[in-house]
Formats: sequence, structure tokens, C-alpha cells
Amino acid sequence: MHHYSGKKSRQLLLSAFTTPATLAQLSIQEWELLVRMLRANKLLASFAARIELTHPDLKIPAKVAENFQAAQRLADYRKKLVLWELNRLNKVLAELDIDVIVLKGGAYILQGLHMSVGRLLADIDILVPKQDIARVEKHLLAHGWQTTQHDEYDQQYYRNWMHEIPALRHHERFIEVDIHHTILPLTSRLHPDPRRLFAGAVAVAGYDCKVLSTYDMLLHSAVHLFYDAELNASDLRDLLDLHELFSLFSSQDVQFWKKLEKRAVELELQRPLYYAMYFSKQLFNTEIPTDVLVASKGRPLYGVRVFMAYCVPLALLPENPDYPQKKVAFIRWLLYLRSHYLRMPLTLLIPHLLKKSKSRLQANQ
Amino acid sequence: MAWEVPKTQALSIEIWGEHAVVYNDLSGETHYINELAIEVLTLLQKSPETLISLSDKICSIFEVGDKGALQQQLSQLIIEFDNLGLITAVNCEN
Amino acid sequence: MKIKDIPFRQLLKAAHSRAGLCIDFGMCVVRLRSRENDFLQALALLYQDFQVVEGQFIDFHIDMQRPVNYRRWMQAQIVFSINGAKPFDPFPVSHALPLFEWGLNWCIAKQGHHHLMLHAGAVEKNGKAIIFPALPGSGKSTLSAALALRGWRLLSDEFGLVRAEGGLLQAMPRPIPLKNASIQVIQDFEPSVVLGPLFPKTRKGTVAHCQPSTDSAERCKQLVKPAFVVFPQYQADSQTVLEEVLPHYAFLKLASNAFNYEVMGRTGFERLTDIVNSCICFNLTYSDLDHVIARLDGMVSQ
Repeated sequence: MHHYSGKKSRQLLLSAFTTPATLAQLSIQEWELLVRMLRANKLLASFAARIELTHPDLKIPAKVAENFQAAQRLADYRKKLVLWELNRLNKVLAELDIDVIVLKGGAYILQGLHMSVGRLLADIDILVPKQDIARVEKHLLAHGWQTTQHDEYDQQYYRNWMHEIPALRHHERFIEVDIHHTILPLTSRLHPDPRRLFAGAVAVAGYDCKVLSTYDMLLHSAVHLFYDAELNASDLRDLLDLHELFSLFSSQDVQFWKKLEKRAVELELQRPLYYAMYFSKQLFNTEIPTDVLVASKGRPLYGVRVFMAYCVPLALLPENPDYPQKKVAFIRWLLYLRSHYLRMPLTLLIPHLLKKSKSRLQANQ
Repeated sequence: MAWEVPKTQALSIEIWGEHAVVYNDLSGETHYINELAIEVLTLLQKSPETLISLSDKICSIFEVGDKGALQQQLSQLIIEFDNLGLITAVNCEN
Repeated sequence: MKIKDIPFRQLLKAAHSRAGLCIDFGMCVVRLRSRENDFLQALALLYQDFQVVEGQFIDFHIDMQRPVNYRRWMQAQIVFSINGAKPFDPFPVSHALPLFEWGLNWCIAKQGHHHLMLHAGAVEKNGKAIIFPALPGSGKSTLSAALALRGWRLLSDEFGLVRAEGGLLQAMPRPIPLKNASIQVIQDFEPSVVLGPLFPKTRKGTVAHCQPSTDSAERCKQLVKPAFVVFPQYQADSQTVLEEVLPHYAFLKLASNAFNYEVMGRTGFERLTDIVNSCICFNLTYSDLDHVIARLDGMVSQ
């Protein structure tokens, strides 16, 4: 396995996704490395589910199949818990008669999108109109949900600067519920208007909750990854979601790319859309016409493009756990700073990071 | 109001005499249930029942004298089953 | 090749190398890398009949290394890492073996969902397995060790591994950690017992590990059907009493004490109902090991 440092291990992972037929030629050691990297990225279960769906006849070594099965059981269980929590939320929130939109993973599950299979969900995100958020919180607190943030500073921080109230969790269950009133922090550099999102939301059979429209779902996923996440290996699955959403929706509508760009302009999310398209194509060979990318209004300046094109794949792709690279750690740190910079102005950011590191120090003592 | 175990709901019930355990695929939880609860759940699996129709049937199975006390017990049980996601309310009367 | 058939120097060389020392534990293959020779020596003794393998799929990549560049001047410490991640605080280096055992159990509990993982010991004789659910004060480790020293095959001390498909028990006969007074009890019961080093002041008091028998280690791939579930309860000076219990009682006790009953969903429910329906389930009160072993021998010889 000496040959599998850096570039080659990244290649192994990418070709497992882009050309699964080549898996048939893997040695047992290559399978092992692939399983290790997928596990470290929380992608083992969803990869197993993909292969089962697209290449059911592929011969998988027995030990690998065991590891797949174990990971899928855990993912199925988490999915069951999320669905159950959505069921209970739906029941209680239906009493309020307000608009509730289920976001991200929860929405994929509600719509039965196949990338929801094997996704390791930890919580549920919902979007409610800003004027209703206090009512929603109060109603849930009256029905057995409890706040998970007990630290006064954290409480204030969330309420003042984030796009959500502190997560709630029902006292008999495990899944946390994040309640947002916009899809980005109030301090963020981008400000998509939530009213537009509500106007475009679509119904889900059997539920009172809604989900975002096709385009908004994609744009939300893009803005979350490139403007709210730290862009490390555990975010690769979000790029994979984007690839799946692009592939699925573009096959259903010939006007898809045009409409998507138009919607991005309306919501002022051209930049994250550009990144989503660019990296999805770069890593997963998503079929996105080149002229769509070149004509994109979100295309950044040449220097930024070069920087991001170099850093993002290195940060997102898992490393061979036996050969971690200093270069990758440094790039992840740079992108971590970028994510915080994008989320809040420096005058707020520095006190926040100081406060955070201070409480971390105190906790360690 | 009537109640039923939805047809889409996959419950697994294992009965040992007057004791049983039930696995609810909706919540992923397993519950221990007693004799009365077993009967109620089995009835609601067959068809929707109102509190009245349910207590009539239960009365004839267990030969209960005090119908009032039974109804109170049953309405308690129904609330619990609903909270556990074992049954849901249906609006049609029958 | 068995660990005991490899010269110790060669084992050290493997454990020090990048490729590591790969050991087959029956349920899983572990790649171990460490430079702690005392730890490796204790490991080689306790696992002497297990196979060192090469070129096989490895489930767990474990490193037991000293933390780099900090706290060197304090008491020497050791860190458990799995697949490059370090989920636990460092331990004193002298307690590397208990940390390894405990850490490996943690890894299995987190990833082994192709099994319903009961928190239980298990032994087998004449093709009939007994599951001993672990309840506080039950003395299941002492009982499992005593049975293993009287010719029963040890399946596992900590995990009753029920395969999701088929429901057979999977063995993982790792050393049994005896705690406090149990150490002396087992030494008195069978003076020829091979124990690893004594580890004082662990979270569970003083611990010493009991070496699994050659037969148990050699048959670690052999699956077996569970025949009995026995809930042991050690009670000083008591008679040996076996009392059959109702299936729902056994079901609820096993489910609430399992590592991953909920995660297994409907499969967990089905495997567990299979077990309580096909096994005879007992409560056992005991104090005398010879007595109880005679009774259990009787049960599996019928």
C-alpha cells in the first residue's frame, strides 16, 4: 500500500464514484483503503446504497459486503429516527397553521430522493417565517421539546447572529431540530430573501410541512456548502448531493440550466451556484454544459478561481489515514478561516473566536 | 372519532400468552404490552373502532362488569398508543 | 501462523513496521502498530493461539503510540487511535493492554451492526451454546472463565454476537478480564490458569486477563446455535438454583441490555424473538463454581 499516498488515494475514491465498474478490478487492499476513506467521510453507507442500486451484480468481497451492511443498518436506523421525528413535528406543528419548510436531508427523505438512502443524518432543519419563529419555539417547548443550549453566551449568540434559534430536542427522542428563519446567518455576506423561498415551496404528500422547490433546494445546498460549511472531508457528501440533484433535475427538463441560473440571480446566489456546478463537474463528472459554466454570472475572478480550484478538492477529498499530509491540513485551515470570514464581519468574528477558544480552554482544565 | 392501526404501518407482534412485545417500524421502538393492550391493538389492526365500539368488543372478550371504568382505561390506552405512533385517528365514523 | 509460533523479536518487528501486526480475532481482523514492547509481550501471551495473517481485509486499524511532543516530562502516556482518529484521552503507558481491549470493544460496538450485539458472555459445549447476559454483579466473567477452564469453548466474554442473517452466534474468544476478587477465585479454582499481568487502579479496580484456551482460539470461525439463555446471579453461600423464566422477561432483559438492539430495527426484534423462542431461558443463582458447572454440563449433555 506504499503507493497509495496523496493523489492516488484521492483518485481511488473518485473513480469509485464516477466509474463504479472499475471496482471489479480492485485488490482486497484497495477495497480496504476505500472502505477506510469512505468511513472517515461518513460516506460508507450511502456509497453502499449507490452501488446496490446502480451495480447490483458487482462482485463485492464478503468482508467488504459485511462492512457495507453494518454501515447501512446504522444509516437506516438514523433515517427511521428522522422520519419519526418529522412525523411527530408535523403532527404538533399542524396545530399552528403556519408555513413550515423542511430543509436538506430531511427534505430528501420526504421526497424519497435516492441520495437520502444511506445518508447519516444527525438532525432536522426547518425553515419558518421570522414572525412565527417565537410561536413555533413556544409551541414545541410546550409539547415536550427542550432546548439543547444551556450556556447563556451561546444562547445569545444564536439568537443575535445566527439564522436559527438554539436546537430543540424532544425529551424522549434523539434527533435535534434546528429552526431557521433564513438559510444563512444574518451576518453573512449573502442575503437570499426567505419570502421568495416560501413562495416557491412545494407540498409533500401525507405531510402539512413543505419542501423547497427543485431550484431552491439545489441553491440552498450550494450556499450551505460554499458559504456556511468549513469545507473539510465530512462536507464531501454535500457535494455528492449536489451532483445527484444536478443529474436528476437536469434530466427532467431541457430548460433546467437556464431556469436555475435565473433563479440564482433572483435569490442573489450566483456565486455558490457557480462553485457547486464547477466542483461537481470537476470531481464527479456531472454533465454540465461548459457554456453554462463560462456564462455563469457567479464566475469569480481568475485568481479566486485558481485558488479555489486548487484548495477545494484537496480539502473535500479524504486522505489515506496512514499518510495524512501537512499541506492538506493547512488548506483546510485556510478554508476554515474563509468560512468564518464569509459568515460574519471581522469586528464580530474576532471576539467570537476568542470567546470560543477561551471557553474551550476552561473546559479542558 | 375512530382509531386504527394504519394499513401502511408495519407492526410486528410476538405474543406469549398474556404478554406480548410489539415492534413499531415507524418509530423503531419496541413496547411491552399486556393482555388488554394486545386485544385492543389486534382489534384496531382489523378495522377502525370508536371508543364505544371498542369498549363493547373488549367487554365481550373479557366479560367486564364496570363499563365506565373500562372506557376510561381504554381512552387512556388510546392516547398512549397515539403518542407511540401505533395508531392514528380516522375521521370517518363507523 | 499462530502468534506463539513466531519468534517474539519478529512480532516486535512487525508491530513496529508500517504494515503492522495483523491478527485475526474471529469476528474481525485488526492491524496493530505499537512500539510498546511490554504491552506487546502481554498481548503475545494472551493471544498466543490466534493467527497472524497477511494480505487479508482489515476491519480495524489500531495504533497504540505515545502522544507526540507534549507531557513528555510527566507520567508516560499512551494513545489509542483507530483509522487515524483518537477518540479517547491518553492512558498511563502501563495500562496499554486494558486500553487496547476496551478500545477494540468500543470499535466493535460502534461498527459491528451486521450482528445483533448482546452485552453478554457466551460459551459452547456439544454444539449447544449458552448466552450469559451481563448484568451488574452477575459474575458472568468469572463463570465464563471457570467454564472455559473446564473444557467449554469460549465464544466471547463481552459480546453475544448474533449474526443478522441466520441468527447463529459468532465467536470472538478474546481474553476474559477478571476483576478484583475474581482473580483469586479463578486462581484457586484452577491453579494452572494462565493470566496476563495485574493492572491495578483501572476504572473497574484491579484487572487481570485470562488466556483463552487453544481450542477456543482455533475454532474462532465456527458458528453455533444458541440453546440456552442463563441470567446468572452470584450470591454468597447460596445453593445452585436454576429457574426457568418466561419468554417476555428474557426478551426485555436481553433487548434492554444489548449494544445495538434499536439500531438493528426489525431484524433485531426478529433475532431476539427467535432466540427466546428457540432457547430455554433460566435465572441462575449460584455460589459454588463446581456445582454450577456440573448442572450446566448436565444441560448440554441431554
